[in-house]
Amino acid sequence: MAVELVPRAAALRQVCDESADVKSFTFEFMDSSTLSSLPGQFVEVSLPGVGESTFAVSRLEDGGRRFHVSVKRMGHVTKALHRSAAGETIFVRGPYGKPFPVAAWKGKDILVIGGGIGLAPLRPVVDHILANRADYGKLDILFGARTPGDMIFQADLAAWGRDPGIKLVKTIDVECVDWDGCVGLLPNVVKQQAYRPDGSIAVVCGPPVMIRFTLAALRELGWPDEQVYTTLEMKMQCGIGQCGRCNIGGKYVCKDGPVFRLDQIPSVAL
Amino acid sequence: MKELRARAGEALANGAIDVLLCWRTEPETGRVKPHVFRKGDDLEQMVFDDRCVHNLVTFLPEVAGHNKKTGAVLKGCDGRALVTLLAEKRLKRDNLYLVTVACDGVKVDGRTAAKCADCVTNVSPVADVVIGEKKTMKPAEYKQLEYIEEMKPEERWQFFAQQFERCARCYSCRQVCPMCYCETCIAEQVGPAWIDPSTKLSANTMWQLSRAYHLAGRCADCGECERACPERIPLRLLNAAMQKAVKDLFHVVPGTDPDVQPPLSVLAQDDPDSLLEGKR
Amino acid sequence: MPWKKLAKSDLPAFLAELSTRAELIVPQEKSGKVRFLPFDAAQPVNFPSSLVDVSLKSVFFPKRRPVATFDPADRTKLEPAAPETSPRILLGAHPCDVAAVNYVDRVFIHSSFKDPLYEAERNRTTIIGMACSEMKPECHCTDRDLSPDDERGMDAVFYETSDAYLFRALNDKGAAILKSSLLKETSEEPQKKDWPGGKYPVDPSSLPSADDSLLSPPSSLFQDIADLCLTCGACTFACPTCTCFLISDEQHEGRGERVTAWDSCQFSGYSRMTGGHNPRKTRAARVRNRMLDKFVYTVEKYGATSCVGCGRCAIICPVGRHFPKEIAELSAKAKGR
Repeated sequence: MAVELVPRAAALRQVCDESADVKSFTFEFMDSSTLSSLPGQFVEVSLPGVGESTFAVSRLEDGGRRFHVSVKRMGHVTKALHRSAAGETIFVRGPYGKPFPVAAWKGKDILVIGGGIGLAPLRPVVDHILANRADYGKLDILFGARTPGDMIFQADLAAWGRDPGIKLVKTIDVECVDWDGCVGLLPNVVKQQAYRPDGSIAVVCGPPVMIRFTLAALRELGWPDEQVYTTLEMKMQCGIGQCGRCNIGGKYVCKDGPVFRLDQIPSVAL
Repeated sequence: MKELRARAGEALANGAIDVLLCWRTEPETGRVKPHVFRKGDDLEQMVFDDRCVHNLVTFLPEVAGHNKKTGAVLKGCDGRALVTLLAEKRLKRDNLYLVTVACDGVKVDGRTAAKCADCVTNVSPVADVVIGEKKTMKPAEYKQLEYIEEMKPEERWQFFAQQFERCARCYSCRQVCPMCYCETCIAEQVGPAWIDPSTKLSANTMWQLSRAYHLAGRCADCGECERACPERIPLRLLNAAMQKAVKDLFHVVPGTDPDVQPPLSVLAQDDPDSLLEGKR
Repeated sequence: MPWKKLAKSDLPAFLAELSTRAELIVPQEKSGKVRFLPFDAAQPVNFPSSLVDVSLKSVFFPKRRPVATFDPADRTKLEPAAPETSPRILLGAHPCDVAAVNYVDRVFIHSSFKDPLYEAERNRTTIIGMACSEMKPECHCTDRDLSPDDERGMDAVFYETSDAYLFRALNDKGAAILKSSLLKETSEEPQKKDWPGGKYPVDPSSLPSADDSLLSPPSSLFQDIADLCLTCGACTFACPTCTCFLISDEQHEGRGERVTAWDSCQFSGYSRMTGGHNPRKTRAARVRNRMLDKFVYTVEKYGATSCVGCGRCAIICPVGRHFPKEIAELSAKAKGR
């Protein structure tokens, strides 16, 4: 039996610049196996001699034969990844974690709210909805970044903007030349847009502070906790519920999360 | 004891201090433990005797951080640590009320602690109140190094390798040390990882020697690192070696003189410079 | 299964016999502490009447454990470590430590991902436990649903009498080990004792529930304890059920290894994320995490509380904290709220 902690070799097929400090990496396992991840799940990516880090799967291609992770350059592992080039071997294990329950959301209107790199775990949700469009109702996407230059997934944003079945709102934090779109912090824009709960599902991802205030804004608009989903972030190591680190109380973010429904997280956490 | 309790009680009662760090006997277990005394506490349990082995200065920054005026009862070695912390501006003298009690030595495992044989000051060099008599102690001689110094390098390495092999990297030595207060310890750095976190011998050796180097000119020889170590690795030897080198080079014994800066924190024109001078 | 008697004078011969059949691990004193070590005929075996100083955690989950190797000059391959298979006999493990191992099985075997390296260590080891004949001052296994002569989790057990050891196999694995001409069937049986309890009782349901403590600032209950806790980690290393680990890639002399190494939730950097955010930055938060983990969180994570009442945390603490007493007080205080 394989030691789960030992990852498999994957070829880095493509590196794509999303923004000044975010790159998307496309991987393909050397043994041609597929990554059968569900939206919201993550993988552990490592470079031998450097270390291992947790990244949400940000897209599946070709039924999982290829998969993307989108990485913000922050610490020594992400910096090493950013220095990698197509053709190199990188190690991956997973997928792990509780995914977004997209099957349970069938028939509902969906509101996707992403802040910065938080759009990465949400893109598979949008991909799934678009691939099964008839199964879902309206799709609202609200994406916020600090500046236009920080917006990731530009191609997707453009496509979503053109899609008549999607209402896309993009916002940046502070006024900027050459931007005539929405300006404002995400929680404020949420209130401005006055998204109505009405049996819809809201999914929120982004930096912890953004999540906290955005969830508060949704509550103000009357969204019941049972209709709101988010991802919690804690430092991870093993990713498989053994090393003890990512616990919040008795829940492991790697195993019982990272996706949580709001009523399953006590309000004291947020 | 009477004088200590009286002074402590008075200072707490009249609000001169908000809390007093001292030791307390626990009635149920008979243990002597550090304790934060507050106004109104029963001071009969306050104690200062040869069971008071802990270095209260380690707790001082956290406790002083929560209170306006903090009192502490100090042994000599504890006080040496405080002198260096004050020089490093880790604590503010004005917020502290320091009572030092002349110490005759403490016991570890039922016997007088080894460090007490090398005591250089029986009272804290910095204090508001001195209870008992300050004695003239013999100067620091680092005699405990003699048997190591007699070993050939290969023997010395064998000796220490056997010790370091047992290190579990629990970091108790670091946590009990009043001088170890880095927010991110060098052992916790990952980019780059200066010291591998696992227990292989090379990593353990690197950890122990790094810590000893970081204590050069600062270690008060309170001996807590060695006492806290679950494997009782003779850490005092490493620290003594560093302090002996510091004494030879800079003529400073850490923490004994409140007017002297830790020698590795300041650059003086006349600092020894044998490397550039071509001497060995 | 019948009782078998080994005369104390026959112990060296029995140990020698066992060591020819498998790697034998026994309690021996080294560097001032009794710990489980590979049998060395030159060293006296020390079967304590109660607690062995150092737990047998490292017997199944080593402090440093390679899970894969790589060549630093060619980082395109990671070779997984092979599980060990050679048989081992662990002789003299006390009930608290065996219970601890059974708990740790929940983490590494009976959870969503089985760890084959750990499982192999368990499978290749026959545990011949030893019943305690007394409880040491800090022992409180009886407050943790155990007893000093609990036989659960052992493959065989032995009791010490004045002139002999009385062995009994508890399953086939144990029976196989006890096949020896030195062990003679006997009608003698050890005296089971009545063991006292109530030293440090805890009612886990009374403790602040996991919900209350989720990332919220710790209550003053924990702050008072934290004022005098150095979060040094000694208790977590001494504790037989603390198995937090980190993963580290290490290179040395041309060889690369990915290892798991013991870590501690008490270390300040334990939950620190790359951006600098640290949910358990304060000592009180880390103190709370450890105390509640043993009695509340592990129930949710692995289905059982994880304190076995060995008392090592109380023995090892350099500042004299008494974790079992504190948690009992906490439980009593919380009940009263």
